[in-house]
Amino acid sequence: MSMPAIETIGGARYPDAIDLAKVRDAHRPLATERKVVEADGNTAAAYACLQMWRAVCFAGFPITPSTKWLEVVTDTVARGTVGCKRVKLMEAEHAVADYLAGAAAACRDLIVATATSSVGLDHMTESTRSLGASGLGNILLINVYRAAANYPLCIEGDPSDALAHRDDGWIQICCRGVQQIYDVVLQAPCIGMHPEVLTPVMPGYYGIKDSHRGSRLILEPDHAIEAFHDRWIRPSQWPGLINGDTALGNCVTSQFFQGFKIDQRSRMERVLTLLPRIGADFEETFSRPGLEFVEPLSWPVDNTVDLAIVAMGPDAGTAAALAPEIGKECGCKIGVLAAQLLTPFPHAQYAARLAHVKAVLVVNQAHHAGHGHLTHEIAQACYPLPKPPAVVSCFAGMGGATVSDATWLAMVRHAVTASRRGERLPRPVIAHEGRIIWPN
Amino acid sequence: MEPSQRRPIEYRNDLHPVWCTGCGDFAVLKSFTRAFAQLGLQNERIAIISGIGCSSRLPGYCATYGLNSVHGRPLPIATGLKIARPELTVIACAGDGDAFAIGTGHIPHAIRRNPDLTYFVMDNAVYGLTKGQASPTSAREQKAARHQLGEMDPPINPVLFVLANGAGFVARTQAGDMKHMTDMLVRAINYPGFAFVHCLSVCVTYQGRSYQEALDGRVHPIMAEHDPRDEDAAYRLARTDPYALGVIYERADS
Repeated sequence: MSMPAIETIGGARYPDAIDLAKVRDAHRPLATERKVVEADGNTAAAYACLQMWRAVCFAGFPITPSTKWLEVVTDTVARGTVGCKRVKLMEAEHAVADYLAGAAAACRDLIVATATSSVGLDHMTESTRSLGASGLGNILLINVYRAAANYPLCIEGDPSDALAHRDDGWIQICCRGVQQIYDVVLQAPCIGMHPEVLTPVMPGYYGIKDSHRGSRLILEPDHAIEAFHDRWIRPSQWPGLINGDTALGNCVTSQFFQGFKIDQRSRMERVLTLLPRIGADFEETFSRPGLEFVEPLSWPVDNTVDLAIVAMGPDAGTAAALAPEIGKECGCKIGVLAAQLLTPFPHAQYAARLAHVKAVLVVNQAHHAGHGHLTHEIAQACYPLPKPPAVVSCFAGMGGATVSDATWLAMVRHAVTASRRGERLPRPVIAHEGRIIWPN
Repeated sequence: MEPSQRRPIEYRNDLHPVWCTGCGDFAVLKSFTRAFAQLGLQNERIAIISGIGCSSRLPGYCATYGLNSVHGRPLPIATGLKIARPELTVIACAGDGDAFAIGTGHIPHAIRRNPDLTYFVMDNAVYGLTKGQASPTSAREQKAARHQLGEMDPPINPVLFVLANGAGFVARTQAGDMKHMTDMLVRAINYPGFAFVHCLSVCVTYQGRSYQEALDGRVHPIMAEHDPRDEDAAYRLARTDPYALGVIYERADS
């Protein structure tokens, strides 16, 4: 993989930079035309990775419920139907993260990818923190939500793993449903590798509920994906492992540390301007919704909502389906928002949506020492509003439990009652199987 | 092969190393640059990946690609790098703590994958950066003398460890002999697979000059009759002589 010298912005010439034209030529499409297949979430994520010609280096370590991503990628690559891609089964998840760091740092134009869950993501922590700040936006870490390393362990979909890693410095996007998983993974490198962002992306979806649920999936042809990517991903002007170019493991004094963090924060903030543009282009290209800050699942155009429900993942869809009926029963108009961009959190967009609601029911599906990860963000979003709504926090679906119709009803009743009492930030409750089970 | 026109200084950048005066890592750095010059490598075709510790500062002082990564992880990073850029000369370097404590688990896997890279371990048997605790290669006598934790635990034998895991090239050198280090590094880089170089060294701050003098008195070249292609002989040497310097094993099919 050799090419003539390229000139970088530093003026240096690197005669052995990877020849992207050859990598592109070596790619073999998974789909030559749009087609509909049956797939689960892990397979959808794997297909998206395999269809990107820039993605030639994969690594992984099996962990439930993300294992099937690795199986699909490995099986497809082994059959040789997608060109010159490589997969490495490493000895542990931290080795996976390090392997990807090496490959990504070697060439910023390639996409390197893995998928993991729960303890696997925890094992990667030592590197995910470094990578989040490193400027290596070409790393794609697909996080299949499962309770973080815990007592007791639990293999079902609980986003505490993703939410425990919110400060790692990655762009985190929550997906809902098989098609959205596929679509988000396709769009993720466009944000992460953008020269103004250069931040790795961690798309995530619920283990079991979405990772193992079969559904209809529209596969786009590889050439259309290539054209879409080429509009957003340009050849990097930065070389790979040049001294001081990446922050992986470098040690600086506190004086210089501030600058690194300011740069990291600034790059992250640019996601907020870039994401809707990429999402709009995706929608125009493929006629399906592209990336959004938040999905308004059941939300009137005139914003006349009494109680807003903010939730994550497939259970938010259940809430949207139930909203009219439960609203009638509780005497209020309910709107449902599904969180999509988790990090950076789009506070301004939530504030705009919630400016005129009376109360917000925030449903947290991960254990948290306080009111809940999502609740903290929503409270922060609402704080500057002239008339901030009551923010009512519920924990439901922890450990991947089903959030049943009856549980949604119980939570809405609780939110309505609490807000009518005039409580601005009432004590959080835990709801399960149709009841508020804590506090008793 | 024509002699290289490159000079070692061409592989150094302007940073001044912050190692303690008299530290063996200075000599290791020089041996790296000498080896590169001897091989006539282009700067941009070299990548040095380190972990954490005094010795892991080394890539920062070289005008090459480099990455001072996280503790114990240079091998998987170097492996990923080599996969993506096979044309680069990749050297992973580490101290004894990095290699044989937190990073030990990666060594067997790197060996079985056999990427064409060199793993250079600077072994002074002490955690120098954190003020002199015992490392996995510290001798019991050293720990007893310095009242270090782990006195009852026997040390790891690095050479035996990598041999047992199937390394195709294994050599030992010492930081007090720059020419020998350079020779071993050149041979390791030229070996087409995973090459391990065990570099005995001394921490001047927590071991002192007497250790270096003791080491100088103990090290010796491997006996002339040793055949590095004889695996059984390599095992015997690894078990019986921790101070023999030279190529201990080089797989015949290389």
